[in-house]
Amino acid sequence: MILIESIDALFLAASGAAFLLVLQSLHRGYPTLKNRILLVFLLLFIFIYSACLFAEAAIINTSMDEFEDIVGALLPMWWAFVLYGLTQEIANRDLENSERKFRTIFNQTFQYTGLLDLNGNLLEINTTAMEAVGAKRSEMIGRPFWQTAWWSHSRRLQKKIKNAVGKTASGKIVRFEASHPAAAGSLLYVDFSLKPVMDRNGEITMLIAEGRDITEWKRATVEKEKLEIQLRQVHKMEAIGTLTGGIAHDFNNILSLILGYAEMAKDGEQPGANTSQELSKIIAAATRAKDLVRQMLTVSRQMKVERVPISVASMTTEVLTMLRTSMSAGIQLVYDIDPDCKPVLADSTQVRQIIIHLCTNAIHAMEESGGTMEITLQNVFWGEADNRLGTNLEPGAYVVLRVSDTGCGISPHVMDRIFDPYFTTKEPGKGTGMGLAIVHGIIGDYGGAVTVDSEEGKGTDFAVYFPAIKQAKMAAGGPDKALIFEKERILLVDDEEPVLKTGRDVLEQMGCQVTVRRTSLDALATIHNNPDVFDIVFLDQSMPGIDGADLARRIFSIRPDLPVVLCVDSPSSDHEEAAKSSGIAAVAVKPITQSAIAELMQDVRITSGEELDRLN
Amino acid sequence: MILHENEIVMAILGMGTLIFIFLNYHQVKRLPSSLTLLSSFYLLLAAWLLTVLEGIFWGEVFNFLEHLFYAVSSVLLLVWCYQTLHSKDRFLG
Repeated sequence: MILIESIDALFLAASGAAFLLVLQSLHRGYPTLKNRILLVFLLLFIFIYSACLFAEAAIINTSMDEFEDIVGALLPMWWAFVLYGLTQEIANRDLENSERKFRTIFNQTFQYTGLLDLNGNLLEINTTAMEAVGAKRSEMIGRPFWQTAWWSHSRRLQKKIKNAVGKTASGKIVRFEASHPAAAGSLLYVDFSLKPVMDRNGEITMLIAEGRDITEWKRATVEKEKLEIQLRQVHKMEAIGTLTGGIAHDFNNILSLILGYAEMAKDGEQPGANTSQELSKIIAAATRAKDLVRQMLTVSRQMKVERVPISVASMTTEVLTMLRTSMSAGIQLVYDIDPDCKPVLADSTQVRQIIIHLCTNAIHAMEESGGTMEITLQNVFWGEADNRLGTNLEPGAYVVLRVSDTGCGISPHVMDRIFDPYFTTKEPGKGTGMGLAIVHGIIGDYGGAVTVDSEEGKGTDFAVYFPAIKQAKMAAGGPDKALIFEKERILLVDDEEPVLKTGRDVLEQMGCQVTVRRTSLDALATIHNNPDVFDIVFLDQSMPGIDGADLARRIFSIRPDLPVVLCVDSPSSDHEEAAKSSGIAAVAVKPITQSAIAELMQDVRITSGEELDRLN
Repeated sequence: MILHENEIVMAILGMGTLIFIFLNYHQVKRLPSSLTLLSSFYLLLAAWLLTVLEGIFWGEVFNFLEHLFYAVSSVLLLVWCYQTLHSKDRFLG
């Protein structure tokens, strides 16, 4: 019995210790209070039961039997309660963890997500969606989805969402592009979708609304489209330039013949001859054709002009004074010209052309309805970070000429063609379609830009950005060059027989002794054999085999002081640079008239004389 | 043969609890130190069964074992309480 007493004593001691341990742990937060209380009672019952057993074994008090029976009956039940409580706590904890995990995903995702009941009332919404529009959760939950902050900016979208809720509640998936008013005041573009959520039986229990932010994507798409349009325009203008250059080459040769022979015929004509008038008309027509080529070269940016610092402000004022007299009474002119505008490096004739073309277009746009033409001129400065209106302009100072009208505006479907040569919406006889093409060509050549903003029926606003220069002396009029005639020995080199023949005739009529050669090799051989025979050499740049510039270099290796004039189809900086580097005296643009030849020869002689003086 | 009603009731209720454990075994197994806790209960249940059996045969042996199982069960429960209640991480997994 002593052994059993000892064992019961151990039972009593262990259960008592466990009971005290649990009592001591009551202040802790785990397990839950309910389970801690259940555990306390279980250990209390076990302790009492062990005490009864010990008392019974030690024959201290046998009257505890009934009490022992009651406690003994409670023990298995209480074990069941404790085990049930603890397993429930684990299940609840699992549920909480799972809920926390999914709520984290729900709130942390970049996607806007919400849950709606079948009537479209908002049940749940994630943090991302709340922050996007700066809404408060308490103000949104329970409200019809279409009346929430996400759709407050558009009645059309509210109606669309309401319809979408109806469709989705009947099992359909709805998806469309929408927008939300952002907290910052701008619009957020979203790829919105509404889907039904079904239970195990396939019954629709709620709706899930999702929005994916596509603002950046949309912005990038718009930017890409703009760039594509710009690129297409650049390619188009390049193609036009190439085409124009090609046409100009052949056209100039033909004009050379016509002008040359017409001038010769007129000069050789007897006084009182009845062909004088006809010849003058031929010369005038050919000169007009030459101007046309010049215009085409301007459009294709191949027209070389001398640029000097000029004041756009004074030119604008001058042009406005002239235009005011020709404007109809229904058009009101408003202008604001900043006299302190910086000078720009440009050709005054071309700047006048720009102002006249833009103003003429504005006047034509308001011809029937009347309106206001507003012209402003001001300085602007663009830094690195500034948005330069989507143009390719470099950061820096610009002079902006803005010509606005309240006329008929430009239709969106012709907007991308307005700078095309020969494109016009005017009636026949009112415009050639070259005005804006010339403006675009000139300003592009200056490194500036022209932008247009127009709304059909409301008006148009053109802005021309001239790159400004910091300091400059205003252009002064150039010296008049008097034509002088000199008898010269000329070597004329061109691969085209008609040009060669015309050139020879013109030069001979001027009193020159002319030798002609059709190939570069022949010309080189001639100079090689008689290097001192010629005073001036005229070379065509475009020749098969050895071109004009190359031939000039080879001529200089034989006779370095021989003046060479290079004849080109269109002016370019490449030709100028090549000429300077190889010692060519002058570059002449075809077709070359008699007076131009005389002037050239005079210039070449002066330059050569100065050079000789310097050498002597 | 001496059978006491209260002892039979305890054994039956204990079996009922055992059935609950079997039905929820996956959950019960996830309790911290579940082997210690369940061993404690199994020994207690064995003690209750031995209490009934000691009235039928091998009275002294079964009585001794009954008291021994009570004691060991109690010690195991003390160990479980110490392991779980003094380690939050252990209890919360």
